[in-house]
Amino acid sequence: MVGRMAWLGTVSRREAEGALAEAYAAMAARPVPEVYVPAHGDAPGIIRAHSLDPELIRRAFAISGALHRSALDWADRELLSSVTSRTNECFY
Amino acid sequence: MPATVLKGHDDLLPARGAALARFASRLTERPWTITAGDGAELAAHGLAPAQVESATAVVAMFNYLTRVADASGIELDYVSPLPAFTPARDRDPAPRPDRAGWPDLGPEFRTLPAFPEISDAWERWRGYVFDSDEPLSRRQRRVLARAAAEECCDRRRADELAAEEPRGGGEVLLDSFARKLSRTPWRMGPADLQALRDASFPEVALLHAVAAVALQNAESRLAMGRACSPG
Repeated sequence: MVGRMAWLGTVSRREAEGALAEAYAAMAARPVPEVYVPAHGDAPGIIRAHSLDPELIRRAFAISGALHRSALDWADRELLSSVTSRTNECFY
Repeated sequence: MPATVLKGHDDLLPARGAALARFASRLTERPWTITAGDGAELAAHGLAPAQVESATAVVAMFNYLTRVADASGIELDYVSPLPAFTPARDRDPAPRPDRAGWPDLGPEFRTLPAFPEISDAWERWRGYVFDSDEPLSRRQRRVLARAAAEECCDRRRADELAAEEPRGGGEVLLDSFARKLSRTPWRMGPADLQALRDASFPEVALLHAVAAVALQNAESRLAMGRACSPG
């Protein structure tokens, strides 16, 4: 069942089946700092925003996952992402 | 440090962090102004070429993620120890230069040579978003990418897509959507997706429209950031 999260249709982890359930499981298995694990128990909103196309989840988040293994440490990556979000006037 | 960043006090950061913050801010807001001088400044603060390349990729990726967040209307769904960040939604975007002032960057700048695994993954992502035929046509994706590339002042990509001018109502809507999400993502609201929905684009096509615009913004910044590195 497709629900309307905020403005775009999404499918929750509880309702996910098949390829989407597998994509959610793969994302949940990735190491993530505790602070970024949402308390609501569903997939993080930025991943759910892609949930109408599980293949898009796999392709897009393959990059963000791999960047964690690139040449900068966590603090540098957090600094860069925070400044980018702030400059774009975005809470994310 | 994070609270300092959220308040915009980058000058209070240690020199290396301040240099990274300046780079991220300019690559996000005025990517067409990035030059070899930016690379030299980062190098002067001890950043190796691979680290500059990595920094460029992080900023590019977050220009994708923030646009997906802004267009889809997701809410902050984790508990942050940081002070709340209030976006300034009335802020004006940076003025764009005339086309003659746009950087002309070829395909060699749209890769990550220090990180072949990420570069290959980026190419697979790019192929899926720009070259799929469903749920948006390839032509519709190119209309979106053209508008986004122009808003990023990405001359090579804009020239490549120059023939993809919007024709007809649906494409004009896509063009407007792409320009707003590229130039002022902080002003996106529910009406922007609803306009596409009202034009009979299915829900999954809306997701692909968002992804195409956001990815073009990321790719253009990847190219402009990579151009600051020597060689």
